[in-house]
Amino acid sequence: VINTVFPITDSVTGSVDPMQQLRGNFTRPISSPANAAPRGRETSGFLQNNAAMSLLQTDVSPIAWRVGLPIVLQTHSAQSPNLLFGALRRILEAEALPYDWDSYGGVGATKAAANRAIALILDLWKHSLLLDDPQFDVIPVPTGGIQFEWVGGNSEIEIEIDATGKLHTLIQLADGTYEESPSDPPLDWTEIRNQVLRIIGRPVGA
Amino acid sequence: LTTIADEDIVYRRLHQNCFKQNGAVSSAAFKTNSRPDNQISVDLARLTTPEESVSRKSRSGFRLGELEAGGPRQLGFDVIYDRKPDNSAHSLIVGENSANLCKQLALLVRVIPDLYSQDKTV
Repeated sequence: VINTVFPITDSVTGSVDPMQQLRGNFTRPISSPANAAPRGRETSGFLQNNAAMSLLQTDVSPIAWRVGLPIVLQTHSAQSPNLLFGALRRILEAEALPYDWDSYGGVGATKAAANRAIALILDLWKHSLLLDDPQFDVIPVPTGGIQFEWVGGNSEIEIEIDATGKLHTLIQLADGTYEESPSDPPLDWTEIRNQVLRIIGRPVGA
Repeated sequence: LTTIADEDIVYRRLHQNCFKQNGAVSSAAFKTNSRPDNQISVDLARLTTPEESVSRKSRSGFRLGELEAGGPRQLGFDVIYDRKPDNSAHSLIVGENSANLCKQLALLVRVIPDLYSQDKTV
């Protein structure tokens, strides 16, 4: 286990604020309470990102976040912090997609889907399952959801977070057959984790 | 009446977000927000050109996938001509859809190389 420390400093000083990676096009810094918009409010047509901020602040293990203090990512070395931030950024980008982004009437990810996706990413990280080997993708779904996909050597798994935030999976097995989770009831975290483990093989360090 | 043969090629625009890191097309490309849900818009290749089809919405960021109409039919879909006033090549892949079938449709797609949509608004 290693600790990766990202310095959180005031952007006015020109130092690096790692949350800038998440905020993307945010028009104002929100890394301090003085600059933060009221919880639940949005600015500039882009996700205010309170959901991500809230989760990063309160979903403490293994991410410890304190405003103005370093983020400490306690992680196995195989889990790249860049993968975590990249996945979170892709989720926020999915939420910011405009109507008809796919040219067929697609919509951006709903807040429910984005919040569930963020929570799921953090759960995956917490359990050392956020790996880029096998390859991991975050894909927006035109119906307002977000999809996570792992492509293993001979098998693949898709987790679809639908527009209401419910989880569904599709597994393509090595023999070419498919296993699709029932639409109702939706899957819970334990079932998701077991299905991911089944495809990617093992938790790191296990 | 325009009929579509199994050998006919249909085009589907593919937004850059619908590609995986390895270049494969995600099943998300066939998850549609249109109403009704089980109709997937495509263009009948012989009534358009790849360049026209990929740039039909006049925005950048798209590539073009092609598949033979017989592919979706083998999955249980129908492929029908559905001319629109602004698109004489418009056609539909019609049928009960699912995540599984979206995945299989994605696997049928061949991405046309070196073809990208043009932003005509600038």
